[in-house]
Order: sequence, then structure tokens, then C-alpha cells
Amino acid sequence: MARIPVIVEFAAEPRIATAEAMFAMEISATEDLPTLAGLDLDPSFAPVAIPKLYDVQAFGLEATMGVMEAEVGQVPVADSYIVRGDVEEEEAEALASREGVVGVFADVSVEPMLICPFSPPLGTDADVERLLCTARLRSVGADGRSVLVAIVDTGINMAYLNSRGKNPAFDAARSWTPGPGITPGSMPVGHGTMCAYDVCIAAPACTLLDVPFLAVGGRLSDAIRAYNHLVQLMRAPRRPGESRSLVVNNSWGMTPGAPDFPIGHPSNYSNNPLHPFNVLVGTLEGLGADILFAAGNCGAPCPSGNCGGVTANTIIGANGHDKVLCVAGVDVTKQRVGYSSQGPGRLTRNKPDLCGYTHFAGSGVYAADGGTSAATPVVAGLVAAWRSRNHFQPGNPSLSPEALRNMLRATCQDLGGAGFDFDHGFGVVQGCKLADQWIRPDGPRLCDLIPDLCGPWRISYDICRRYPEICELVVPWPIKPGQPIPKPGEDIIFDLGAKGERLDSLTREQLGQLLFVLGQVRACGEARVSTTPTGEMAGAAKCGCA
Amino acid sequence: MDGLMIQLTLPGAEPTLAEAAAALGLQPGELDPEFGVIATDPDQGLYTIRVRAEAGERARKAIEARNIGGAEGVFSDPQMTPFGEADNGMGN
Repeated sequence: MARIPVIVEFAAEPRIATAEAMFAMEISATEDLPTLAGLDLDPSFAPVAIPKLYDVQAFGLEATMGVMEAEVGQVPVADSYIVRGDVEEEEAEALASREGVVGVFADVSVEPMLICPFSPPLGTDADVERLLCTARLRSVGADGRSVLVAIVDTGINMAYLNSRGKNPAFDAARSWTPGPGITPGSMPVGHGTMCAYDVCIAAPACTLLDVPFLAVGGRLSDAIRAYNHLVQLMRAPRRPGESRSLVVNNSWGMTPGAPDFPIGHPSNYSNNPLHPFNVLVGTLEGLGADILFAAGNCGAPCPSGNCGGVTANTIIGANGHDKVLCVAGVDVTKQRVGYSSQGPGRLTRNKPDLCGYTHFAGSGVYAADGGTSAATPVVAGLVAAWRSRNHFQPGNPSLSPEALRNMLRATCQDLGGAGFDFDHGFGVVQGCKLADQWIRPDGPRLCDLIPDLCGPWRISYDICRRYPEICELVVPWPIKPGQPIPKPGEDIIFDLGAKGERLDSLTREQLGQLLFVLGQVRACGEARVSTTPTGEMAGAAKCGCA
Repeated sequence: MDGLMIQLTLPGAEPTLAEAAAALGLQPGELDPEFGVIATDPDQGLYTIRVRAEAGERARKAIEARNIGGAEGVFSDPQMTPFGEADNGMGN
């Protein structure tokens, strides 16, 4: 016989029936409640009062409630309470007919509501900014400046972006003009503009390149032409000091069922690393481009309509390439959206790599910036932000695209199963963790611990003609206990009462004080210290504690 | 332009359309000039071209006759789709 979890509603008992008692005390599940044969109560679940509203006057509750008749029309009164436990399934009905039992109800499991196609947006791009710590990133110049971000898509409309408050730079010369009638940057507002907007969430100061291959057919051969353009861009000489960083956003791919040669056929694309586009992706990455691909929208349990109901093995072709970041989607509560394609990938098993935020109200191009289409440029913007402080340098492995991919994976917040999983990859990107690289949390504040050690101090004195020799071990003090480091303008006070102390006889505190003073002297360079009108040292290194 | 997408190995740093056509026994005019000769992996000497449909069968036979294998061959040219529009009620 199966036991099922149930909620049992009991009529309120006199000793716990008053509102005051119900809401002021914790009720012991094991001590105060009636026991019923067959019902195994959950001792960890404190009973919950189920108040109903009663008219004060009609039920004569004035005296009971202690309220003025004129003040309150209705008050809650504990009419019943619930407990939970489990019972044999066939005994549930009998339990419900027991004295004092109002009802027996199934205690069903619930799950969070999944975001599916056509779900309304959840949150806004401001939420995404907060989650990515974009303010902290911007505060240290990690805002995409000097980084090229290629939107390989339907085209960008810069005027629309500007009207929505996004003002990235735009490089028309380096954008791709695939044919007549195509004006990069002035394309119809659509999917590509949404992607461009979402890049600017984390990289508001990036330089966008418009690569509208989907506007000229959108065949893979068109993508090859587009990528050839980017390869030429990466090979082109740069001016001295000009950044070589290029981030490539690809929020597109092949849907299941699209015509392709069968898997295993040498002409196949979906599973074939030798297909020219897959080869070219590797070539571009090898030149230093950071390439991101959307995982796709054919995930279970609610795939996009153009997936034909297929939800398995839907990370296809270059979207699961070893040399790219494959981006899945989570909403702003960090729950996987119900359509985000799940691994394994066709070309590389362990895909997707990580998650970006999606399905939020953002660009206004659509009701929601959704799909893994939006998640990908959100991450691309974070990549560009990081690149603006860590530009790609040929020959420097620590700044290679592979190093960046590894860093992003390593700094993700793990979601789902521990470690990598096919729903989330290594988890959702964390802009805050990246910001921590440059904004160190406060360490021990030495100046709070030893106030006398820190300044800024202005010192103008000559100890044994500015020794580092420390006067040949004859120290012109000890500094008397409690004697502070000289204030600005003061000379150090020597205690000439004694002949001085040998250096090795100084206490740790005295030695620390001496070393600090010496450091200040050395930093000043000369005995005489130039000062600013405000009295601070100029040209001297501060101790960094202030 | 309808046609075949072919990846093949070619000598030299920047092979021309004429050189690529000659490698397959075709005329330069039978290749897509807008596509050109794209270096997919120049370190391996791999380049990709598009052959006009009317020359497709001859091109296919020529590449098969080279019998080099590996990355050489005729490849699919499927349609790509943006991954956001359908989920916003804009398509499909």
C-alpha cells in the first residue's frame, strides 16, 4: 500500500482558537495537536493557522478581540489549522471523516514556472546590469572601450540604439557590406539590433561592427563570406597601440530538420568539423577573436516552434564548436528558460559552456529580449568588458581566446547539478567576480591597527644625513614609547639623553616606525619634501592605507 | 546563386579564382566571383569556392577524382535562422 503526502485541516480547538494565541505562539506539532491513527505527522512542520475573516459585530467578537466596534469591520479569526504528514492512500477518506477533521488534501509537489516561448518578459535589462555588476565594471574602465564587437546577424540600426539610450561607437569601415542596398548601421530594426542592444548592457563603450549576413540570404555560404571579412580584419595591420580585440556574436544557427547531408556523410555540416564553416571558425579563433554562439532554442520542455518538436542533440554545428563559447539561457532569477537547448553538442560533447541572462524587457525590439539569442550578446558584452582591460595580444597565451573561455567557465556561478551539466554548462556568468579582479576587497587595514604608521606624513629632517646606512648602527633614537611619528612639518625628535640604541635593540614597534620613516624619506628622494598647498606630500609614495 | 560549395587544397598564399577553377578543370566564369576564393585554413592550404549549378556535376567529379579526402569535398550549404524571433512571437 502506498503512503501519500497529505495536508490535514483541523477545526480550531478552544485552547488555540483565539487569534491572539494562534498568532503569538508557536504550536508544537507533537504536543498540542490531536493524534489520529494512521496519520504520520511531520514533526518539522509547525501547524499553520488558516484564518477566515469574520464580521466583528455580527459575531459578537468585540469583547473577544478587544477592538472597538467602530474601528474594524472584519478581523481574522483562526477558524482552522493545517498540519502535514502522510497516510496510507486508502485510509485518507476515512481520516477525513474523523471528528475535528475539516478535510484531507493532497500535498503535491510544485515547481517554479518555466519561461517558455511567448512567456512575458521577466525583469528588465536593469536587472541584468545589476546581476552583472556593470557599475563596478565601468568604475574600473571595463566597459568595452577599444573593443570591436561584431554582430553577425540581421543588421544593426544605430539610430534605434541611440534612441534607447545606448551610444556605443560604430565602425562603418570595418563593418561588412555584402552587397548593394545594404548599409551597415542603418539596417531595419530587428533581431540584430536587439543583439547589439544587449551587448551594450555590459559593454556600453564598445565599438560595434555590423555584419548583416542574415539580411542577404542567411545561407552558410553567406556566413563563410562574413567570417572571411572578419579574418581579413584580424589580419590587417593595426596602428601602434590600437587594440586587436574582436568579439564575435552569433545568435543564430541551423534548426533541427533543416536540409543537410546525413550525419557521417562527408558533405554534412551539423556534425562535421571539416565543413568549411567549422574550419573557418577555428581559423578566426586562432587569429585571436572571441567567438560566441547561441546554444539554440530547442530545449525541453518547451522548445521553440521551429524545432519541429525535436529537443535532443540540438546544439548543432559551429554552435557547439570547440573554439567558441556556447551560451545557454537563464532568466533573471537564474532559472534555466524552458527552451534553452541542452547538451551534448554535436561537434563537442560538453556544451553549452555557460549561461547568460535572457527573456527580459530590454531593447524594446520585441516584448522580451529572449531566446539564447539575447543570452549570447549579454555574455558577449561581458567578454568585451573584460577585454577592455585585457586586450588580446598575439603570442600571449594568458590573453588568448582559450584563456578567456577558461576564465569565464571558472568564474561562473554553478547552477543545476554540481559542476558541469548539459542544461547550464558551468553555470551563469558573474560580472561581479570579474570586477573583483580589479577592485580588491579591503584587506586588513593597517592604518586602523597602527595609526601611527600611516600618513600622509610630511617629513623634513635629515637623520644622519639621510642614511640608508642608519648611521652605522647608531640609531638616533629610541623613540620614546607612545611618541608618535612626527606630524607634517615637524622634525623627528631624537632622544639624545642616551647615546642612542643599537638597531638590533629596537623593539618591533620601534623598528616598524623607523622603517616607515625611512621609506617615506626614500620615497621623497631628498630630505626636503615638496608639499602641495593642502599640505600633502608631493612626489612621495603613500603607504596605501588611507 | 545556386551551386556547390567546395573546399579544396590549393598551392600558394592567395590563389586566384582562375587558379582554383583550373584545379578542377573548370573555367573561371563557372565560379561565383562574389564568393571568391576564401581561405578557410591557409596554414593547411584549404580554400573554399562556390561553383555555379551548371558546372556542379563536373566539379563534383573533379574533386572526387583528386581523391585527396580529408577536408576536400563538396559541402552542404544549409539555411541559418536567428534564435530569438520565434520566441517573441515574430516568426514561425
